[in-house]
Amino acid sequence: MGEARRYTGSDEGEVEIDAPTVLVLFRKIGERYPALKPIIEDGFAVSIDGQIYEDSLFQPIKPDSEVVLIPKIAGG
Amino acid sequence: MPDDVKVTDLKEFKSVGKRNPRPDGVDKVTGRAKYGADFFLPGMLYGRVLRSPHAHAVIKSIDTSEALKLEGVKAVITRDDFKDLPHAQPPYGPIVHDGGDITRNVMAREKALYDGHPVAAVCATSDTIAKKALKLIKVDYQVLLHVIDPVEAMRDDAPILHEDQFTNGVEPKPTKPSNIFRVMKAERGDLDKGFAEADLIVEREFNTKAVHQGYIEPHACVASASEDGTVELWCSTQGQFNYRATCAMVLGIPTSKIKVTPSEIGGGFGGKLPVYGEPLAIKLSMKARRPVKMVMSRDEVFRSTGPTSGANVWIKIGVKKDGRITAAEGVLKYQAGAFKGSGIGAAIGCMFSEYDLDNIRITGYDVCVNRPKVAAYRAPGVPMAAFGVESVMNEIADKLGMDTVDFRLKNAAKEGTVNVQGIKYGPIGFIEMLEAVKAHPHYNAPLKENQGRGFAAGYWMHAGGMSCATINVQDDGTVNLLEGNPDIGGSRASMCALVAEEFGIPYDRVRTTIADTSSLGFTLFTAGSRVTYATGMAVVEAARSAIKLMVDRAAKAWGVTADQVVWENGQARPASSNVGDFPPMTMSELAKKAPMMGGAIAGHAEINATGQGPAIGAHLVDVEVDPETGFVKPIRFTVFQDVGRAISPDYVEGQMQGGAVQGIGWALNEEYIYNDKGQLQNAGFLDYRMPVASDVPMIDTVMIEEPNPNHPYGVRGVGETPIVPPQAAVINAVENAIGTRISEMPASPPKILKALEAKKRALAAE
Repeated sequence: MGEARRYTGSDEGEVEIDAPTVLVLFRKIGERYPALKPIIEDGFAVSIDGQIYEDSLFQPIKPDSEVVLIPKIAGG
Repeated sequence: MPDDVKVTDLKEFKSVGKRNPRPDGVDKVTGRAKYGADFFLPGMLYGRVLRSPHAHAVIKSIDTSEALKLEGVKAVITRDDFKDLPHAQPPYGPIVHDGGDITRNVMAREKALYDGHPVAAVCATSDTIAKKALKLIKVDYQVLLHVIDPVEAMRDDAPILHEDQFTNGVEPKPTKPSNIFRVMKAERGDLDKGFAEADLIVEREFNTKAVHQGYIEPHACVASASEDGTVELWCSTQGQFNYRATCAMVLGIPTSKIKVTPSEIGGGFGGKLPVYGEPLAIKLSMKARRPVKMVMSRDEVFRSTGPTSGANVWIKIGVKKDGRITAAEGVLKYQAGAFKGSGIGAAIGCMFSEYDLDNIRITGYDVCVNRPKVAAYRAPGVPMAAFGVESVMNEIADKLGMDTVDFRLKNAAKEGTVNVQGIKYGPIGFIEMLEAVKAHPHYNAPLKENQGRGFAAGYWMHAGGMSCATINVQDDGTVNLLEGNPDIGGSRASMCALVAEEFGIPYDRVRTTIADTSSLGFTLFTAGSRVTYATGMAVVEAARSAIKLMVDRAAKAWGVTADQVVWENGQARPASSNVGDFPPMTMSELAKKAPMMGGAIAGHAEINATGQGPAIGAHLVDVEVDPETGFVKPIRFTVFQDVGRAISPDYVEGQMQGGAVQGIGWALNEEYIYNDKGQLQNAGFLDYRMPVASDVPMIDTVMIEEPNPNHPYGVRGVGETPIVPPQAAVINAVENAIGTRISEMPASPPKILKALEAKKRALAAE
């Protein structure tokens, strides 16, 4: 869960979620951790198997993929 | 990346990778190019801003009556002309998203929070009258205690900037307001176990000063509000679409009513992402019903626009005798300025990320102080942390008696390494880069007396995001490209090269225009090293859609199917002799016949680019120190960087050289100096000393080209990575020359002399 962990109210760092896309993943995380729900789409990007995706709700996720929630960043 | 974009095969390109002239070059060197201050409209008024002389003060009242009576004054605005806006959710960072903060930064509301904070603005028929009017505005301040240092601002007894700010990221949720907006943590492995396994532990504290981006062109705009409710804004910006969105939010105007046209831009480096005078100029124009021009002076740029954070950085690294790092820890305390949002997030994500570490913990504090709100500055937030990390890395290498590059090789991230954020790397090329450094003649070149050599590496993540492009094939077969990123670093040249390569036509038959916000779909700003990557990808897509149209037309003309036609060297031709004996149709012929073949030939693309990947750079620098004056002269500098593929090598090298030069200034000279009232004392280039050409050696560049598999031409961002390593490399070179450690930037001559004196005293005491 990376930086998102502090919103989960637990020490749970890794969770297994069945989600075919980032959209479904965000929805399911929001259901499981309500504190994350209002910010997850705007505040976080994801790394899927090491590849970073921002604002990519339709990005497919393979069944065995490792997804990390990371804060969005922008440069100068 | 769109599904149908495939990486172009390696081949001998005709335009990509060539040292093409900049399409905008002649106008820029002859003074013909139009920058922000070069716009004029009939009946235009001149706007000026009254700024707080106090670092922290309650604004009890503002009386504008006398200013309004002055002949020639057409409007005056204050906080009463702007609606309060709600605070927003994350993301928090140097690019401000919080409407409540933005509206208070462009015009102070309850309090003035820094020297230079706008408190009123006027527009008048001349600049002289506008300046005179400012003197007639009476502001009643209640001056408060102020704080400009992040460590002091974190104390319990520090003056509080925002009574409604309670620290985020700590449990239990605080009940007392604090200048610490948020505490951000990242952790991996078992830190205690890692340090327990170490044979050597080095921990050091570092301090860096706020430094400005130092763009040559001050902020400038012209706003024209019409009685029909529409607004036009011409301005110098890194992102016309972002400016449109922010102005719409601050002024409560629908986005569709604002058109923003970007001028040429004389530098930005992240500093032209926030709005400053633009919403004020629009509001003044709405009140005066005439166009209003606002141009900042250099003094205003320094006092009121975002520098990068000054920082307090604490680093602890443990190693085994063989050089393997067992644990690493960092604590970052960053100035955010008057409003939340420093670069701690990016710093945490990048500062140790070129190394393969099992046990790591980083804690970052985002701290409000009575200074201008920080803005992005090339890899925002990372150089200060990298300075600490790389300084300790160099010290450990020395203590272990290891070659500094060999020490990094021992710990270098590689494919499969997982960083502190949990991101697992694909091919990353750091080991290859370190080997290139060792093999370079600079690495073992002899040094003379009082000279030293320094090395540092750095990691940065790039941005992707939304980009649009439209291609119009003209009736003579030339191409006009419309894209949405202001050209700061030569991006027009890269776009022209990509289009020429796709069409198979000469480079000079393509012209790139930077679109206003009404002529193209949303395109994210020129920042995050994203333009050649993301917009370049959109441009390639747009070219391919225009080619598809031309292939379809040729196929119809020949009575064959589209898959029987190929596009090569600017013309459609039959895929094989079996298709038929048709002479090729050139782009010019297709363009000429366009009216009879279905209409104008165009292509467009709208994408949200991903897959940009990180980049690593390494800097090697030699300096000479004058032991009598403490003056440091860089004498040799080599920058190594994985650039993916250089579409325009001249401008890639320019980015690498520019980052190194800015890093030299950051390391040796630049700092904001405040008096005891929190007022900036060196708001000008005479007293805020940035390097000029005569201060630096030729910056040599080594471009390592490992094409990025996620881009059709292998592009990787290049603009920000080169600002990450130079500070530590320069300081390390100074340390190597004088034989003592330095923990503060800038390492200006008085500090060098002090370090030399301390060393002399220590030697005498032995």
